[in-house]
Amino acid sequence: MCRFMVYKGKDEILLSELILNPTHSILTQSFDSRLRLDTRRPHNGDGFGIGYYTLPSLGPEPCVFTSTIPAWNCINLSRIASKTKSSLIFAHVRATTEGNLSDQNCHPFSYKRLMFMHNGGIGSFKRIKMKLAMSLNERWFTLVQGSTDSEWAFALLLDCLDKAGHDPDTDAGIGQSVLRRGILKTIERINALIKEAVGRDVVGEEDSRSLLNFAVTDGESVVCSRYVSSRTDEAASLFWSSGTSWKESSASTKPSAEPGQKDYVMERRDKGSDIVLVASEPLTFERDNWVTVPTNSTLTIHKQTVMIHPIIDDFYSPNPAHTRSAGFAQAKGQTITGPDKVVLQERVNGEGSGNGSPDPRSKEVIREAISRLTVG
Amino acid sequence: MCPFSNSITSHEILSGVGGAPNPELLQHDGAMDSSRQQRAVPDHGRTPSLVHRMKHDKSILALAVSSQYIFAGTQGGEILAYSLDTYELRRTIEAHRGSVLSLALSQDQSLLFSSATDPIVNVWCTSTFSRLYALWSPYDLGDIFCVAYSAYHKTLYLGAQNTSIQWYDLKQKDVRPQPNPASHPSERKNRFFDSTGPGGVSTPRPQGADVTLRDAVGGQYLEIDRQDVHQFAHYGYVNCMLLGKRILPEAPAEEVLVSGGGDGRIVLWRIDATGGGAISSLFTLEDGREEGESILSLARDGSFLYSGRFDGEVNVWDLETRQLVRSLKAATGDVLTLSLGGGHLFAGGVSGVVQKYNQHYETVSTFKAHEGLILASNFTTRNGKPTFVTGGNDNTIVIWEVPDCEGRGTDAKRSNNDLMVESLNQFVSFKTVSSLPKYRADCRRGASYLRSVFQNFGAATEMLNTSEPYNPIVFAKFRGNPASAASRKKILFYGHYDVIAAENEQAKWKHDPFTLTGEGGYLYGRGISDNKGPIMAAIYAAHELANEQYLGSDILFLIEGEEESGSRGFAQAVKAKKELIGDVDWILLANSYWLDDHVPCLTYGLRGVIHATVQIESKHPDLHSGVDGSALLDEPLKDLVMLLSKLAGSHGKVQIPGFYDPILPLAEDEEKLYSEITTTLLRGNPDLGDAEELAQSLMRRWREASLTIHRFQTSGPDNSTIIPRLAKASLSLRLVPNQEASEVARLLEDFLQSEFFQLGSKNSLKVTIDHQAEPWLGDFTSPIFQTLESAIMSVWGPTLGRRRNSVHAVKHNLDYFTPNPNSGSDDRPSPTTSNALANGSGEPDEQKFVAQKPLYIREGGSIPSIRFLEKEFDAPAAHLPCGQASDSAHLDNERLRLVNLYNSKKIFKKVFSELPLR
Repeated sequence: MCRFMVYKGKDEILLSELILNPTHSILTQSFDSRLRLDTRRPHNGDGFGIGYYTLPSLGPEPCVFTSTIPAWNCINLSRIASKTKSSLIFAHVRATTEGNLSDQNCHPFSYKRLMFMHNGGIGSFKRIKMKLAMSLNERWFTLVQGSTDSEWAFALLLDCLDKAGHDPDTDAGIGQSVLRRGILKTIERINALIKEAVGRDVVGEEDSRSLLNFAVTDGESVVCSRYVSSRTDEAASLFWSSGTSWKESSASTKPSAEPGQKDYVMERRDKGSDIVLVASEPLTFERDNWVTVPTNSTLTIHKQTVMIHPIIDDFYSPNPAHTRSAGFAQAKGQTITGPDKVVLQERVNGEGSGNGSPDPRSKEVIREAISRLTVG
Repeated sequence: MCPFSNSITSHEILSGVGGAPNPELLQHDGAMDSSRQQRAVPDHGRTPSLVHRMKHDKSILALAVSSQYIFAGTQGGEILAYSLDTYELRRTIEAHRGSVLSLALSQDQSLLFSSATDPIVNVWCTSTFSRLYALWSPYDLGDIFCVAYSAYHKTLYLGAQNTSIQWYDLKQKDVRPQPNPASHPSERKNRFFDSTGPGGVSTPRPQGADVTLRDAVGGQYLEIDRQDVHQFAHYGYVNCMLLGKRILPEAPAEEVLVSGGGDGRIVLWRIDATGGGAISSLFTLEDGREEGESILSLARDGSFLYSGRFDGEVNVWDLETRQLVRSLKAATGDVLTLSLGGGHLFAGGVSGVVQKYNQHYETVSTFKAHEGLILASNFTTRNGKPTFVTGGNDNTIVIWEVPDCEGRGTDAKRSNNDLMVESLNQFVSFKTVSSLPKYRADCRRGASYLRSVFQNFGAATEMLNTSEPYNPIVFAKFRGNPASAASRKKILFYGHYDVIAAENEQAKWKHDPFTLTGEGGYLYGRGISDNKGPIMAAIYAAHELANEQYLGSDILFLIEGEEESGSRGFAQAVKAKKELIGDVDWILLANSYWLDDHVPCLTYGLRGVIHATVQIESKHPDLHSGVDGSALLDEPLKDLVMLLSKLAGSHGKVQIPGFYDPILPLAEDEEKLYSEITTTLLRGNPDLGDAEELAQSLMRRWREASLTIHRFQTSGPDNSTIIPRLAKASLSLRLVPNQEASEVARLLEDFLQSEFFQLGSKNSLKVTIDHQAEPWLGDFTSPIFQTLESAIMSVWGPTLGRRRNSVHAVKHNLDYFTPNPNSGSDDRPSPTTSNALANGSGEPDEQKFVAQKPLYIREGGSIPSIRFLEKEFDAPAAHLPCGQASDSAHLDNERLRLVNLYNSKKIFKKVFSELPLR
């Protein structure tokens, strides 16, 4: 499972201030991601991508730069990041869940002025892939270049927008509410396809639950989702932070763990949200700066205003104290699929899907871990 | 700055005092450049006038005003408590770890609620400033943008970044189980922040995260119940809330919560009293727009609700019909704050501009209030005075007076302190600079304004002319109660309305020197401390006593206009009008400063002064040193240098024979005064060094004579080949009792003449005495000093502890205090200059000490008239310093602390009424 990050600011920011410098920057997250349980393979090293909008004079489309080498090894990334400014930035580091290592499979994906990325996975993807593909208009079907579930989700989103009468080809922005409805419709269609494919006998050798943390933008508004198609599980992590300036912490005097890294803080000189950051994991360890996006909701950034809407469907709970198990999302983090990869059975097995007979010790380990994690 | 200052008439002057204030004259918000443009449009007093400005070092995000205090929440997590009386910072409460976003007072003003970017809501006691409760949510809610408190339900509501409204019923605080300490937000284990990185080590908390805040300690810990939450109260941040009755037309008694959110909706919530204060949505005010047009601010007036939005949009909602009635377009940019009061609606926002509307939603005025964003505002009416307060990200809080408020008719009483500041405001606006001829007309206007103040208070006045072209003296007489006519004593108050020049060409003044500007508890302006403020305090003291029928003596005022220029013409004019002035029993003046900023003083001695010019002239014209320079030529400058070198020996010892002879030895009781001074000063400022040295340095300046050579002047062009034809030097001698100025002047002249004669020069010497003033020594055991002492003690109180200062107190350079390291074997006291004493004050210092009495001090400076008046009227004089050492009299940014002004008035009042009883 991947990590992503979105920056939407009133002003432009140097990419390195987000991607390279913070203590827990997206680059750091590519080799030190904290909200995954896998201590053996904690890496998001299967490529990365950044996408950002440039001066309007260069056209409305974002500039997207992807690579299949691990982000921490890409010297071009730090070269570009320290000399590029933008007020709307997507960044993504990848650990493959579906699709192999190739440039086409790296997020973010873009079409005209739209940009999209995904953290998570579509449940039972192999069983719905064909139906999903067939449900698309031809122009979106043919758009898909790679082999990831995420790219198909993007195509599905474009199809949803198109079918709702909002042509993604348009030069104008699509608008926050249309984008949000598009995301909701995409989730709804994925859920419907899975339901149709797996029927009632949900649990099998392949999990039918989806983790759908999407981020989409038309270059003006941003809509992110944090979603899991389950009532009992928590979605993959997503945090946001807003304030008036993103500054190097003045209190920071201690040498940081990584050379060149600095402690950043989100300052609040007034009540505005001149800067909004959304990220799979906080970029800093300033507790008061980061807020958890509620499970099964969308976060919209529109004119530097943040809105949060619940995604109300079968998997929504109105009870504020409703607790979900973090086990599934974490387990997904260490599930590695693909022709050349082996599923790490012994630690995943049983949690969430509930089948098999895991050895009691590992079950205990996971149970403890989960109980520790659910407090916050 | 005063629009009428070029053509002021007595009518206009009069209208500014007492009765209906002339609004144009009251303008004194000259600190802002843009306000000048504003002034161009005559608005007939509808623009609120800037009363006071308080500067901080961080953005001001929230304001709450009680009957006593202005509470301001800052970006640094502090809550500042300013006195509403004197605008002094009373307390800096270290309240939160991040920006304070919201402050709310309970209805009875006993509780203050604060919320911030840290996830804690603190509840403070407004009298002790201690924390009563610390409250948190079990959820991750982000910034808490707003708090509201229902006194009726005793329930606290908070609106947060995570779109929720949460509540806590304080009635339940002792019934509910105590929260587990581990549930405190900073103790909670977080799956990210407490996670371990590669190698199994968790990232240490960033620096500053574990800092304990001085004041955010103690009190009861409360945790919101997991069910006392309304998720998605808005589909955006809950930006603002208000709570009140008479919101629902059908149920006016019901208390309703109103919230505005980032989704652009306003929601009215029903409070379920039986359900622990739970809320349920009553209805939503919407205008059919796309979501996301944030509601940034809310205000309510009866059944009308006002909401502020982006780009200056102010909506007016009718709560009866639940409709949007109007949308106003303000020049404020995003409307970040709305306040209602006195029949006006005030909108403030990003542009730093406040737009003021009347009840017909017409713009009454638009004025620039802050250099940055206006983030908070509040309206309050205190003692009948409508006051508007704004705070912004330019780190300032500004107090505005709103003159045209509803219900502020003739019955609205304004305190004498306010009127006094208003009078001063005009008094300072006259450029009464006596030293520059171009201000002669201004001096006249200032004098006639002053006279009008006396006249308004019923004093008999007369303008005493001095010989042309010098400024006139204002004479005024407040008559005591007729009942005591026979035995009435007479107190003469002497002061001066002229000031030192303040051209401000280098813009070293923070504000226009002739526009009285209130800032941080001080009034700034040329002459405010020297001597206009003290004069006004004395006038108002006499006026108040007369009004209250307690004036048992006659109070005479002699306010001259040439003090800063050596009291030219004063003595002659007073002598000529002695009939009119009559007998005098005591003389009082208030024209000096405390030794530091904390302990009141009484001045019983001043040095005298002689200013002299020594000129040596040759018969030759200016010559070239290469052509004419030779041992044969007596050069005037060479002569002058040789001559002056005879005047003083090593260590400044004056060599004029007999110069030191009349000087009084140090008496025992006098020595005691010095030890009182040094003990008090050193307790406050241990850095001042050795007590003995300090006393020595004070004595050198106060009770010892000195000689200074100020400058040389030569004729001819300013280059290094000229032998000047003429050379002159200015020098001055400071005299102490019992040196007679005229006698010393004679000694000086004789000495110079005889020394010059010995030079055998062909040149001629001319010694001119430009100015002389007698030294003065009062009897500090006399009744007038006794009366002053007891008045000071009762007004300033026996405990003159240093208050804990704000954290951001300006750090002064303390180098002055360190004794000169090179002094080595030199046992002379290192010069502790007056600067050092002034700079030493104001440092944060937690310790308190008690000074039982005012300090009796002398001064090194001179006031020529005091000894003259004593002699002329054969009455003892006393000198009450009103200002603090840091007042910067004669310097840039002259100021006077408001408390000093108010208390000086009280002291004068006491002295005026008690002295005659002695």
